Amino acid sequence: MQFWINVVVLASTYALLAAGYVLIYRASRVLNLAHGELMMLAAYLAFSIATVLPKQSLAVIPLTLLLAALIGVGIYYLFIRPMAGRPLFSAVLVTVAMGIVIQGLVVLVWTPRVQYLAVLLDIVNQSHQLAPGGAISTLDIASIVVALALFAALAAFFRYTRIGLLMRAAAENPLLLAQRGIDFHRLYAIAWGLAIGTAAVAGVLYTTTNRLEGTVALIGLKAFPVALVGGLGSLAGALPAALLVALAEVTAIQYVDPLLSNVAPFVVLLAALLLRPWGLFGTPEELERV
Amino acid sequence: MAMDRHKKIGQKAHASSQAWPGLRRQGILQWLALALLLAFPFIVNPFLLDLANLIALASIGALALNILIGWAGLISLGHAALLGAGAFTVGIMIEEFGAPIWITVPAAAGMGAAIGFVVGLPSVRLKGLYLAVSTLALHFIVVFLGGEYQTHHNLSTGIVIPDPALGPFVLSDRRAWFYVLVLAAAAATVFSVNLLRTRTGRAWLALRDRDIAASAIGVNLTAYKLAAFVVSAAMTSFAGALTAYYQHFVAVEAFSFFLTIQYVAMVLVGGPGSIAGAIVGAAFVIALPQGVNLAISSLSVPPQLKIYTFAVNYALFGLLMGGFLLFEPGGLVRLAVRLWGRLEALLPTATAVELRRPGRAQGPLQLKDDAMAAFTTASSTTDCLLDVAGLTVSYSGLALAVDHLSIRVPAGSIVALLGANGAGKTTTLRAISGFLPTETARITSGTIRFDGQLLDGLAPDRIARSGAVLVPERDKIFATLTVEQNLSIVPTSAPSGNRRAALREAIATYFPILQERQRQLAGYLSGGERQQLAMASALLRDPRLLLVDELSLGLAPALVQELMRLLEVLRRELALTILLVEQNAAAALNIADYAYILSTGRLVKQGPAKELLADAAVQELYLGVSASRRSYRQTAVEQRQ
Amino acid sequence: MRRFLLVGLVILSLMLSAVGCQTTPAPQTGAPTKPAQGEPYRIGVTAALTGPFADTYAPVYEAINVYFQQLNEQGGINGHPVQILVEDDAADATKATSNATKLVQQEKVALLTAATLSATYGSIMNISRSAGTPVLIASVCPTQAYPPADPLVFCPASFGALYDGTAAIRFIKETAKEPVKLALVGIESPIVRTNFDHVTKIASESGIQVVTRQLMPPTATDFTPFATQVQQAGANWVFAWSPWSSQIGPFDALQKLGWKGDYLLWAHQPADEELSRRKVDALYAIAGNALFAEELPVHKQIRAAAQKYKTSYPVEYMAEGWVTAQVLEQTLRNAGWPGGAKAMQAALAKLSVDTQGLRGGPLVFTADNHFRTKAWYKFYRWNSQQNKIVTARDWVGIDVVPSK
Repeated sequence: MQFWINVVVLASTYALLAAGYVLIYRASRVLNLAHGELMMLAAYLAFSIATVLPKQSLAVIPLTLLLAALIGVGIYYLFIRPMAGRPLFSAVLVTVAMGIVIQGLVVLVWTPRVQYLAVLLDIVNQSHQLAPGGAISTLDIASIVVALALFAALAAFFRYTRIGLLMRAAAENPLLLAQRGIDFHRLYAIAWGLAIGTAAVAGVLYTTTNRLEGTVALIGLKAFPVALVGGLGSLAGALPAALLVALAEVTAIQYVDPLLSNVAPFVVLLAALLLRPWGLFGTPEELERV
Repeated sequence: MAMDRHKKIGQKAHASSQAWPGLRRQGILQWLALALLLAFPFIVNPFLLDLANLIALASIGALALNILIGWAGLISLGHAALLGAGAFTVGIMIEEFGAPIWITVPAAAGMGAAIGFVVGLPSVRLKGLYLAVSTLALHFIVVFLGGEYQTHHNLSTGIVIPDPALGPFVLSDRRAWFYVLVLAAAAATVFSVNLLRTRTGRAWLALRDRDIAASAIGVNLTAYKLAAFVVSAAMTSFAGALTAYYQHFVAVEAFSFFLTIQYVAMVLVGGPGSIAGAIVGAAFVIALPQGVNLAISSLSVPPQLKIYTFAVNYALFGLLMGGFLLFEPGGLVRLAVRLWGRLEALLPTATAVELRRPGRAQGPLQLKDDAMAAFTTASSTTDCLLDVAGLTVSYSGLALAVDHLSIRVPAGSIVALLGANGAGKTTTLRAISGFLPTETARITSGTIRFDGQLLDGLAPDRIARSGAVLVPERDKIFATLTVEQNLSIVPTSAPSGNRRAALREAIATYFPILQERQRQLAGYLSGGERQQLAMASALLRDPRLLLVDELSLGLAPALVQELMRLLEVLRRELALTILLVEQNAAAALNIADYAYILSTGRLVKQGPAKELLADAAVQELYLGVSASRRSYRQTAVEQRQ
Repeated sequence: MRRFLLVGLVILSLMLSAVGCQTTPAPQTGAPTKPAQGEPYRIGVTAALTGPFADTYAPVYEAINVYFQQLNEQGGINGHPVQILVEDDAADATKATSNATKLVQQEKVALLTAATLSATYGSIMNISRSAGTPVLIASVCPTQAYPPADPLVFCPASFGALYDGTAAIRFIKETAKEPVKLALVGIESPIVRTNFDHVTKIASESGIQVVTRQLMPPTATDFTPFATQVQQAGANWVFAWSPWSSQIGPFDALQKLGWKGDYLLWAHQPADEELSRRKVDALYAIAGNALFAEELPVHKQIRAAAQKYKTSYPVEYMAEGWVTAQVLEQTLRNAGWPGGAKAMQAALAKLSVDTQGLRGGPLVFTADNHFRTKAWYKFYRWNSQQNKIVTARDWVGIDVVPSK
């Protein structure tokens, strides 16, 4: 029982992060390898805001999300847009460079010390017994609920709003959209904003549950196989992929070898790449575009 | 793009070396450099010697990665894993069998080649980012296996490697190491230089520049991709093996993902594709932290802040890497060439070397036909809604796709731009609608005026908003949206409600099928329906000039005729001007007022549509025969290019 | 191409010679009243100032630095100031190697101090051995310092394999009210493995059953799966022995799962701070250095120095480095001037340092015991009735004897 709870909780974190990868990839065909670092940066921003506004999580969290979204928009205009027309991988490497800069800056600004967001936000992470041999904490429930809510919201956004439709159109064929007289860069920037916003949600939840320190960025790198296994262009694929990867990881830890925990997502990824390289829900054409 | 940049660099450097007065000065310099190199270990302190050795080691790894990234255009994120594989091969062979260096190092290279082969296998199926990602997976797997070996053999602090012995000679002194490593790095350099001269090397460059093009000229993609992986991996593991001996230990912590990034940065910062670049990049990345330490310690910062040196280093490394990617993708070598060029311009002996622009330096074609005044140069530009003058477009700075083309489209007319496949029609249309900057092509000369305004350099969406709207050749609708959604995302820019209503009514009248299919995904529409949806979407923008690219493509002749007629009706009803780009000349000439015929990028004939239609020679020479006989496969390859 | 190689070579040598100038020491800050004059003693430090475990190792350097800044202003040692040359290795073996090479071969320090992850020790010891420079390890003690000791390896750090485990098992046996089902939690590292092998052995000798052993990857951030294993094994006691975050992380995860048991962990620097933050009575800390909660006179001294020189870590993190600095000071005093590597080694091999109450007794090195003759341990826990950290068991001394 606890096993499955652990899988679902871990999957919810992965799904939140994978959503960011997918949003960004759909928008700008870029794999954002700084996603984990941006998630960490958002968490540190939350930490700083929380030091100014202690115990007011209702103010801290929206402020953090807003700030993170603005950072996302800024990144698109400053670093990604100038890379248009250049080899795709160059843009990916720009995100890698960005991640390295963030790692350095975080240490410079916030020191390498471990911080606890939960204390600052005055959140008590209580344990709830779901069944004999199966407990879950308040924040873990929050993580699952938020992940599901976010995916529902994104699905609605892409189906019913004009901007959502435009973003789908831009994902499919940006030049055609430009032909219709729409500045797709603005749409891409919005997508980046949304993506970094979701990263901030994941970051705040994850670091409140666990700890805030420089190594949490690693979880971003581990979530990236999730996005690929699900299909880089497919939001719907991210949910089952997150469950699959989390299942593989938790199984590896509990039944095979704990040291496999970092490797497990990538083993799943390799298997997926060999069997179904376009992902669970992607289409083979996706491969041609990369 | 990068290849011809590299070529230019080579040419320029070559030319400038000839500009030097004789070779003697260079000869002296070379001897001096050699003497400096030989004396180096004896004139610097041990720490610097260590640094130089590390740079020599790193340059082997960087040269190896350059083969993949710089030449074959294959991205690998498994570089640290391959270095680790080499180092662990040495470590394990020493730990288990006490193997000597002349067995371990070749074995490590062999191990690298084997891993390279396995990692290269997915490249048969995967491209670009997906391939990079599969090599990233390799990284985590190798690190895991190394860690497993260390833990299960209780090698807490890594595997200790004794000084290597070759017969009676034991390599322990760092000075001796310097010569060995410099020699190894030199060998790697010579190997790289020669590799590029082989058929394989040239095939890699072709592969990097364009997969499909390479396969079209008969390069066996799979074999060459695999070869690139195997050669690069073997070299990398060789470097890893030497590193193990040099460092005296192998520990899995040393092979972090950041190490991979450092090597990628070496290639990028030095200059991708350049051998000198890989070496300079290696030196730069290895020496950078020391430079930062030096700067920090000379700034007399309080010792408490020492804690942050590493973070400063880290951030600075990221900034530099990003900076080169954004601002100088050619790397340090390109930067040096540029600075060198500036410097050379100041030297009295230097002669400026101008690369000759490819292409013919002749003026625009003299047109004799002046049958219709509005279409000829005689009339003033304001009469023409679209005026293209002397347009030249080149691909990758070399091949000319369009050569000094001048066409005019008066308001209210239908003008056809005809020609066989590859004649440059679509390129012209893309130049007009502002799509070129997003591709490898660019406008090298000429002007495009729309309603008297210059369009050059405007983004596609700006051009569309100014009233010149394109109905593209393919991918003309959003397949994942419904018909209704396709129409709803078009911003209606019509000035008055009346006009907007008129547009909607026209669409409802002339494209009734769209009404019926409005809930359907556009991806499921038939070819004709797609064309109608695309035209309707374009009309919603209230265009003054409608640019229609290959309306007939893939449609039945009867349907083509019907759509052509529809265009004529729309022109009348909505007061449109239409530029029609067509392979199907007969259908286009039926509704056009005037037509231009292109062949290999140049204007070969123009005239009133009726005259051209009647001209049998025109049909035979430029329109019919050659185009229709092209096989589908050939066409597909060209269109992808 | 040749031209490029040439230019590259020139650039390279320019860069190298620029770096070569980097031998000038950073000037000492602060306005000295009676500053030490003349040639300094040069002590090299390679420490994990950044990286995943920085908060265990960086404060060691900070304390050493503060200690000698203060000492230099008060006249130094034998009339000479002490210069601390520090290099950050970020717990990375390759960087530690290049740091050690630089400090030993270029800077020619008389003594190398390491406060970093145990995985880097091998290469550091290698370099020290080739130059004959003694190494003072201020992070987890390696078995090389235990009798019979490696002539060049010394370890004043409060924690080390084997003895910590023995003390922990004794404490658990005395404290537990019901039969103990013990879980061992730590990162996957050979030194942890060695310690847990030892703990398992003596636990079974004392009738304690070890129900599970969780060795986690050093980079783990989510400890839930490991905590689940501990809980499902039915453990009612846990002994965690690792860098701090991988001790407290599993504890938090266990709490999250609603586990009710007793948890003993090693009192690394953050212990003071984090025991008070969590306020859980069942969380015990085994300490080698007296916690600041005791407010001993020496704690007040450290507090004053830390405030004066503005450390970036809280004062509660300074005890470990303070003891190291005390050992360094005593070594330098005994070695006299100029105090080269040989003199340092000789001084270290017969050293007795009064830790002023930071340890349970004096720290004594002998010719073949470079760890301590008696290992002292004290146990703390949070007491919610008194709302403060209290002593759970006073100092226990275990004799350190040569291993068979």
